[in-house]
Parts: sequence; structure tokens; C-alpha cells
Amino acid sequence: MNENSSVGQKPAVNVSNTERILSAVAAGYLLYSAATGNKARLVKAGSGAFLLYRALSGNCPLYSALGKARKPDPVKNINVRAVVTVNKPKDEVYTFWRNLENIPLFMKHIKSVTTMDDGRSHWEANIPGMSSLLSWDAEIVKEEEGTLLGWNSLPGSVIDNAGKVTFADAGENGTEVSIVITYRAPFGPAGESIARLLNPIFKNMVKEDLRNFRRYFETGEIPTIKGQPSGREETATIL
Amino acid sequence: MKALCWNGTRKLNVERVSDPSILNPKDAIIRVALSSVCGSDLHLVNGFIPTMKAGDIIGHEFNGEVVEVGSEVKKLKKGDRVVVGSVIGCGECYHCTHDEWSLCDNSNPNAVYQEKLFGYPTAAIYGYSHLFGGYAGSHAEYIRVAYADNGCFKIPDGISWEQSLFASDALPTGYMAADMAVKPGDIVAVWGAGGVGLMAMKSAWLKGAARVIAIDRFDYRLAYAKQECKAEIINYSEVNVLEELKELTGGRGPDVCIDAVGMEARSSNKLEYAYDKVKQNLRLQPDRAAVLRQAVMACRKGGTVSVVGVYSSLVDSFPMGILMNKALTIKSGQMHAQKYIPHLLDLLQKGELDPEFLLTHKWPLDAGAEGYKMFNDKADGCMRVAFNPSVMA
Repeated sequence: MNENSSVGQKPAVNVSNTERILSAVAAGYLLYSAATGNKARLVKAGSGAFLLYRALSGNCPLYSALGKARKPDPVKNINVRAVVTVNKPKDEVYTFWRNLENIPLFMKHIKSVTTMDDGRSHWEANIPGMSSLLSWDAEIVKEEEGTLLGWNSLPGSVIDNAGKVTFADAGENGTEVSIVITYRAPFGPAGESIARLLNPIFKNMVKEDLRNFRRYFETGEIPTIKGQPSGREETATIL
Repeated sequence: MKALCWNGTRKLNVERVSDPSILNPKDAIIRVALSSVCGSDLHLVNGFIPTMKAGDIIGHEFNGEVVEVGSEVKKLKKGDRVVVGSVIGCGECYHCTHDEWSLCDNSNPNAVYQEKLFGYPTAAIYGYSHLFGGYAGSHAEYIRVAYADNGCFKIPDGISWEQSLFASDALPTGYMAADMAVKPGDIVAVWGAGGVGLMAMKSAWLKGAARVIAIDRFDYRLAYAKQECKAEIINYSEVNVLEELKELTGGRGPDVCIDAVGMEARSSNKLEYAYDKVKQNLRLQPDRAAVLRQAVMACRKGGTVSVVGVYSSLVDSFPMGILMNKALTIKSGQMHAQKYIPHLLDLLQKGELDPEFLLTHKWPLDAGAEGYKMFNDKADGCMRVAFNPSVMA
């Protein structure tokens, strides 16, 4: 079930599941080989990227060109929800989120967001376990000043996603920020079960991102202990 | 630099590690003047607090000199002499802005793990396990202090390192125990005549207590309670505490009972002590709660039990029925350092408080392991041993 106001146009699914999984495996091999090998790197990278797109989207532009029929797309939407209260007035919180380019300041897997003149935005993400950057375009499809922001990924996105952030006044507690992200599992129905397995991890990631939003927005920094001394350092010696 | 690292249960080593650096804009680096052991460290050293990792630098009660500040530090400068609260507060979240600093929403980088155990995560504490943030502790030549403008307090002129040291932790903890519970005219009983308990006794007087009663089993500690804190004393290894308290309070019981002992409590009831100790060692219960049970039993009807002794998670056989039927109130918490330290430094400067008598031993950091052993064994009349990693004027 889709909880968001709308989902993006999906490219037609015309690649079967088995083929999508095979494409993904082949894509992985080609991309790896392109990255590490020294022969025909450009060709490997190009075909790898093409197969990866086929696997993730279920759409093969070649099949489309050849007129291969659209398959029914039984993949269900997956919803991830999280909420946090931040000790700041609602309007300030809304304004900060409305500038999408702020998002990488607290979402550690989003590398950059670039907003374009037409209201669309380009997103780049570092997904754990993937060596290359994932990128997609999105647009804001719903906006209620100070209260709600809704977005949709644009057709052709490797991760088909939509989301909604709402802002509610919580009196002296500040502002409640609720987020619902709806996405469609890559790799089709086969991928759906994988996505269900990964969903708790994704959910934790979104919750941690929101926690980091509060940390960043309230204090200007995200607490860390990475880089502090300990006896676990390689050079540490017992005196 | 040199640092005292926890390498396993009762295994402490002084190690050479790298110097700390500024990791966030609100950080400062402090050159440590004095860094004290604390009773709550013993729970770590003795292996009762989970999520310690071999190599962790321990220690959370300290003062020193500012040697470096991050780009967003506004109130401090190089060379400032400061005492630092052991609890880390961001200063901006709901709880910090409501003076509940040990409940800070933001300071614990490992909030996600603590949230699973506690429901909601609390503030980080220096050198106090990864559940409490994993920040490197103060038994080292240098320490990184996070949200330094909030955590560091300038030591007033004329106040020495030795006098100001316990304003970091033992004094505000004891003060909070009294501040949460004591009303003018109350009779206050304090279990544990260690650093925190003795500070709670002094603070109870400041809050208007009519009488203060100390309960412990070490005569030298009870002697401090009597001489330094003007308390009446009960040695629980010699008399029945409940009967004694009843007698001392005209049959009513103390209005306020302060637990300044926590999870490794002993009991004068040998059977109860054996039960708790065996269960704790088999990890069937994390915490031994003999003092808490006795405080609930001893407390006057309608009175308040104030808990500042540290518990890690679960206690067995908590007398809920007694608490409920006697309409008792429990007040508790890790101390809100930043709320209390300015007021306490003020009292130090006016001479209304002087916790320096707790500092019975000042040793080099190289003797860290021996220091903890002496402190744990209550040997050589030890109240507190503080290390001086960098000898300063």
C-alpha cells in the first residue's frame, strides 16, 4: 500500500525476474571487472551499467524498442516510517528541510542533493555494500507551507521512491517531524523478499538519519567518537 | 600520551596511545591536572557494566587546563583552568534546556543501542562504557571534551586543583541526591559514606535537614561522616539498621533515604547478600539491591527515597508492595552536572563547602592499577585516589 500522495511514473517492466537476477549478477561482474581490470574497461562499464539498470528497473530499453510486451508488475510498495521531536520552532524546521541541499548534512548515505531551477532535484547516495554512487532525480509534488513536503522520484530512477515529511507543533517540546518513505523493491518480486529482509535495516537507517537531523539541527554537529585515542590503536603499547 | 586503559575485568594498564584531537567544532582539548577514581568506576573495573571494550580509557572526574578549542567554542580560551562535568550535555535539546543534562538527547553517539535497553537513550558519560557513548576518559594526559562551552567550568581564582576536583562529579552527585528530596526540617539517612555519600550529607545540611544519619561498615569512613559532615553514624555490620533508625527517629523513620551505594551493595543479612552475590555472578541479575530494599523498608511513610548510587539495569526482589503501600516517592538520576556546578563552585569560593578532604591519595598515573586496587579494597584509609598525569602548578 502506498502511503504517499503519489508515486512516480515507473518505466514499464518487461524483463522477467530470472532475467533481472541474471542481469544483476552479470552487471556486478562487468562493473567489478571494469573497475579492477585493464582491458576494455569502458565497454565493460557501459554494458555493466546497462544490465544493472535492467535488473533494478525491470525495464529493458532494447526490449521496449523491439516491442516486447509490458509484464504485469506485482511488486508492492514498502513503507518506512520514523518520527522525532526537535527542540526548535516549526517554521525554522520546515525552512531547513525545504532546502533539500541541507539533507546530506545529516543523512550520512546521501552524498549530495542538487536542486535545479525547475524545482527538480538530483540525488546521489552511497549505499552500503555498493561501490558506485547511486543517483536519481526527484521532484516535490506536494507542499503545504510549514506543514508538509512530499516528493517523488522521476521516471527512470534506480530506486523508485516517494516520501512525505510532516511538521507538527509540539508546544514547549518543539516540533514533531514525521517521515514516511515509500519505495519499490529493486529486482521485482524476487527482490521484494530481499527488501523485506533488508527493511528493518533500512528502517533503522531512516530512524538514525532523523536522530542525526535533530542532533545537527539543534547543536550544529553530530556526536562522534571516531578518531579518538584508545588502547585499540595499532601503535598503542602497554607501558 | 599516557592513558589508563581497561583491558578486561580487573585488568588495567597504563598505555602509550595517540593524543586526542578536535573531532567536532564544539570540542576542546584539556590537559588533565587531576583525575579521580570514582565508586562507579569499580562497577566497570569489576566487570558489571556491559559494553566495555578492551582498550577503553576510563576516568570521568577531572579538571585541567584548556590547550585547544574547536571553531565553535565561544566561552573558553587556551590556558583557562577548568573543572569538567562527567556527564556530557549538548546544551540545546529539550532536556538540557530544562536543566536535565544527564538526559541529553544528543550527546550519546551510541543512542541507538541504549534506546533498545532503556526505551529512550540518555546522555553520554566520559570513560563509562560504549552504552554511555564510548567517549575516552580522563585518566590520561589529555582528554577531548565535547560541547566544551557547556561542560567546562572556569575554576575561580584562589581555588586549587585539589579543591575543585570533586566539583566534577562526586559533589554534584551528592548535592543532587539532597536537592531532589530534602526539605527543611527533614531527617535524612544516607547509605554509603564514600565520596558521593559524604557530599550528600554535607548537601543535606545545606538544604535545611534537621538531622543527618550515615550508614556504612568502615569505621574510617564513618569517622569522616561524623567529623567532616556532622552526621550521626550507624555501622551496619554491628547493629540492626532498621531498628537503629527507628530508635533514632522517634519510631517514625527518616523522611529521606539516600542510596549512595548502588548495584554492588553488601547486606548485613548474610543470606540476602549471598543470594544477591550468587545471582549477580551467574549473571542472573545484573544489580545487587540490598541498600535500595533496606532504604524502602526504613523510610518514613510518605517519605522519599533518593537514588544516586549507580544501577545498570535490573534488580531482583524489589519491594514494590512496600513502596506502594507506604506511598513513597523515588527520586533518581545520573547527576545534572551543568545545572549544579556553577552554584557549587560559588559555595566553594565562599568557603561553605570544601570537599578536598576526600582526596586522601594523589598518585602518578603510572600507579593507576594499584590505585584502583587500593580504592576497591578500602585499604590505607583511602577515600579517593586522584592521578596527576600532567604535573601542574
